[in-house]
Amino acid sequence: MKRVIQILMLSLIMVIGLRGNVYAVHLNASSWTSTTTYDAQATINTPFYPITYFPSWSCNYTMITDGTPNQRYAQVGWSKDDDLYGRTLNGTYYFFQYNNSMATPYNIFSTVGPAVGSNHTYITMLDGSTYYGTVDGSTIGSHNAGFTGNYAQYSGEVSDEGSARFAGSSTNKLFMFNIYSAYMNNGTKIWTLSPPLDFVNDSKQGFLYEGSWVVGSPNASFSYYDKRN
Amino acid sequence: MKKFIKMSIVVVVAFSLLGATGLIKSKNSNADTTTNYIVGAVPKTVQNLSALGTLGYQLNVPNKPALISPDTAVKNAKLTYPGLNGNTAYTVEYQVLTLSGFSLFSQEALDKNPVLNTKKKIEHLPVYIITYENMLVPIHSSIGTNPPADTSVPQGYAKCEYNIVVDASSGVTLLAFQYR
Repeated sequence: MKRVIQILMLSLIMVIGLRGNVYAVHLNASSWTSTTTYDAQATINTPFYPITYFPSWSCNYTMITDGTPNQRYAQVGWSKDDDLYGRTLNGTYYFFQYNNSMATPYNIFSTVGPAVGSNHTYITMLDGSTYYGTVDGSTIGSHNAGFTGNYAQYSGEVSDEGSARFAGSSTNKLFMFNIYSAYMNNGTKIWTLSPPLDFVNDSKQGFLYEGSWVVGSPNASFSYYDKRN
Repeated sequence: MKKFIKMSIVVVVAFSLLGATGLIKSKNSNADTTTNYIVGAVPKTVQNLSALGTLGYQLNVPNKPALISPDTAVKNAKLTYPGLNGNTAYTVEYQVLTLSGFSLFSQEALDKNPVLNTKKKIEHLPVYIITYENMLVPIHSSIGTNPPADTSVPQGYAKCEYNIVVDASSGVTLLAFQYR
């Protein structure tokens, strides 16, 4: 039953995506939890900084979301953009973003980002009534939880497929591993290493390639790359 | 009389020592936890203190001058975030900031401020907050999210302000945040 609901929800998400309502492009691996999601964790290897032409961005993150229809989320990861016009930060930085259907989501950026080729562990977590985002155990941001979600997601996203690329090439893919989700059962947090993952690739131009993935204990992982790189 | 002179010397020496200690403390305590802000004073600011409060930000009025100038803070912010170069529309405020839930500091930020290095958190820290209006802030989305109504803004962005926080003791940029 759980699996059926999961498939139905993801099908709905994909249908909405195919209708062209998306304004960003994702490679998304999603893990559904039967009760409130408490943690979304992944270690992400950043192979290189992707090309982004102003005004566009490319990023990777872990996220807790309530999915359709409200699309509320808390997420932590890294983001890159470029700028020649004094309108954005311009660079590659860790970030935490919280969006509870607000006119303006809350963002916080650090002054540093992942070194090329390095691995970093990103955890979006719900602790009590607050969402936190951590990078290698250091907290970058937090926000009172205005929603609860049932999805832990591990994603790459670009704002505009025509201007920004995903990280990863055929010989140097973006790699996510050490994937966990957690939910609460009678007051006990249940961690799941290598949860079942459902993939969505909503690239309309076919630039994004899901390189490979391994699902199941002990090493759920996946990689992808942008064919243009 | 001798006793009076002796007592006077003791008192003078004691006050000198206290004064010296005070001087030493004031020079190095620009980021200490108890004496660097005016208790109960409400900051003059362009920020929305109520909204910031719900996000874990608390501003206080400094009771000591900053160790670096506002110009240096702006220059350093632009070095950290080069996208700010060429943008001259900003305001700068000197505040004492407490921010729960941030510990992702650069090594430079820790190395150049011993108090920050010890605490590993922003607690009554003298800072400059540099605010840039009409900036483009990345807004991510879940799959299937509707596009924003404002088509004058590039895809995947919102027109917001950026607030850059610079350590007013070391001059090192600490973070950027956006909430409105």
